[in-house]
Amino acid sequence: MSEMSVVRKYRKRSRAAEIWRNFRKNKGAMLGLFILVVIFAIALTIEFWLDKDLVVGQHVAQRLKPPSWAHPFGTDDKGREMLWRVLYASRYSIAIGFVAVVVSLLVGVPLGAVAGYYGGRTETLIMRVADVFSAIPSILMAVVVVSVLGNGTINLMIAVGISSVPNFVRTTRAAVLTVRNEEYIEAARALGKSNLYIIFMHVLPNCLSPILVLTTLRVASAIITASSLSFLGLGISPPTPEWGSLLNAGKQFIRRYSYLTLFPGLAIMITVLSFNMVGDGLRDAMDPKLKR
Amino acid sequence: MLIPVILGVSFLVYVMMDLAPGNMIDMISGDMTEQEVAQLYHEYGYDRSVFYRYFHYMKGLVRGDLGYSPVYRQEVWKLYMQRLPATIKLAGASILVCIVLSIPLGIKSATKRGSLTDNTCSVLAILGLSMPNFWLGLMLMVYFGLRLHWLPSSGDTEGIKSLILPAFTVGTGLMATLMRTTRSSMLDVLRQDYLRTARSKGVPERTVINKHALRNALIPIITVIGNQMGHALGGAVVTENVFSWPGVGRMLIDAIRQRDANTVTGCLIMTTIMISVIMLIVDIVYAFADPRLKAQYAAPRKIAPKTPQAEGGERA
Repeated sequence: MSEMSVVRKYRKRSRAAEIWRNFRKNKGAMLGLFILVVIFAIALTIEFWLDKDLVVGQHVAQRLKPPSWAHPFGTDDKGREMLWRVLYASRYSIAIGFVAVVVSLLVGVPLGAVAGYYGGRTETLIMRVADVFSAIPSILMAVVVVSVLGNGTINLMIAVGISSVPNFVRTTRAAVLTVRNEEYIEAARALGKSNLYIIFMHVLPNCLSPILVLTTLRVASAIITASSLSFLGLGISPPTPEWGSLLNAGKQFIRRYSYLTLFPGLAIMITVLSFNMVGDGLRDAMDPKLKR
Repeated sequence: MLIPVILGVSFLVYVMMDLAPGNMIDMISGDMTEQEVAQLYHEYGYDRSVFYRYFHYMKGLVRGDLGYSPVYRQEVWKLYMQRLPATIKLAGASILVCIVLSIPLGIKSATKRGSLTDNTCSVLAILGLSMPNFWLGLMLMVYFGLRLHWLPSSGDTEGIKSLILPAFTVGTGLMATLMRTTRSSMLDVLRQDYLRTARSKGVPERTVINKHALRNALIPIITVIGNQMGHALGGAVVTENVFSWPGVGRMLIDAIRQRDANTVTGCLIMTTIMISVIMLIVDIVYAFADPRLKAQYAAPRKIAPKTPQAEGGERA
């Protein structure tokens, strides 16, 4: 290993370590991270320790029991334990949130990078298209995309993902603009590296922090958008529990059995809250200047 | 800037609506004979390509015609105008709720930085951002509407009373962003020397904050209010659905379900126009809030300062 790469490696480590050090000081963010770890653990493993019949089966004798010690979250109209349904739904809701954001990352970041790096006509074109997309309220955009693609989990992910692409384009472009004229870019160009190489190896790594923060925050809003869609009856079809569709199912019993809508909502809130706290914490940790 | 965006929005929506399975003629042709259906297909251009239809639609649009909706059996313009008052009412009321709650709280947490109020407010802000808006609506509906019977739980039939719950729902969703912006903008201003000067001249603290500081912190606050007004006018889609509020957002969802391309496109065009009108008003208000900007406008071709986008996610 040459001396140069040793130095670089050392630098890189210390940057991440520094962010982590800052992050750890933020109690809210650490709490959020802890909750997220718990939720992830549940979402990833629940398939293995929970009998799926408890979640989608029919147990009519137990129907619509209000919350009690035996039924902590109550039971729904088919006698299924709401506790299990809410926990099981975390799989879908979180997967949707993540995949949706990955979709918008994959589309938005390259577009934003190209727009920021090349500038000129390319930039104008990309940004105008982004303007058009963001002129349509994101929930309506998602509804339209779902109606084009049809219902279903994957389509819901794509729809929610597409609706937050403009955010990623804008953020990436703004970040790229700040590094575009740095000397190391010029140096890379002088070495004869291709534009694509420069974008991916030099420009984007230096734009990571705003993109990472945005990603965390967008997962939060993607979960909300996805649950709004399934609440409207678009996206996920009934037997699959997802937080939004649980709310939609509970809505018809809202007069007498409001607990059916209470717990899925709380689940969404706690998850989204944790993502938001982690996102805010990351932002503060990465850029102390931004600290409010 | 408005016209290319309108062109883009209308094209995008029109084509996407066409890609969706089924079309509006199929939706309304339940008990018609085949011949009638074929005639309708011809009449609305469904026997030709989507580009022909879009071109046709745009020809109407340049004459100010937003098209006709066979689903609602009405001109889209009239349809929109019927729904707009409810949306404006809800948007106005929610912004009002939002302003009344978040600006004082934002000022308070900026002036008493690190205090209990400040921390409570930032917790409230992040809670507000994290709560699914429609769920808060449902919960409010359950407790104040169905349990306590204080307020009507849906529809727009009892005047102000039926406005309270939806406005509160949407307003609290918007609160977080405005509160944070107020706080950070006030914090910037509070550091300035002229505030110390004012204090040392014996100006009462209240006047220092409300007049000297707030006035100078207004620009980002106005920007955020403008953005939110724009969003709210697009129709609080999900909240309108929860409360059966007869606004634009709810109609749009129905229209998308019915594949009513004309209505969806027409309404979104109107929304785009409304938003840019709001932005124009915001630009004008800037000048009142900050006379320095007015001077700038007067100078030949200086670009109006772009205020940074407010933090926080946009809400559905």
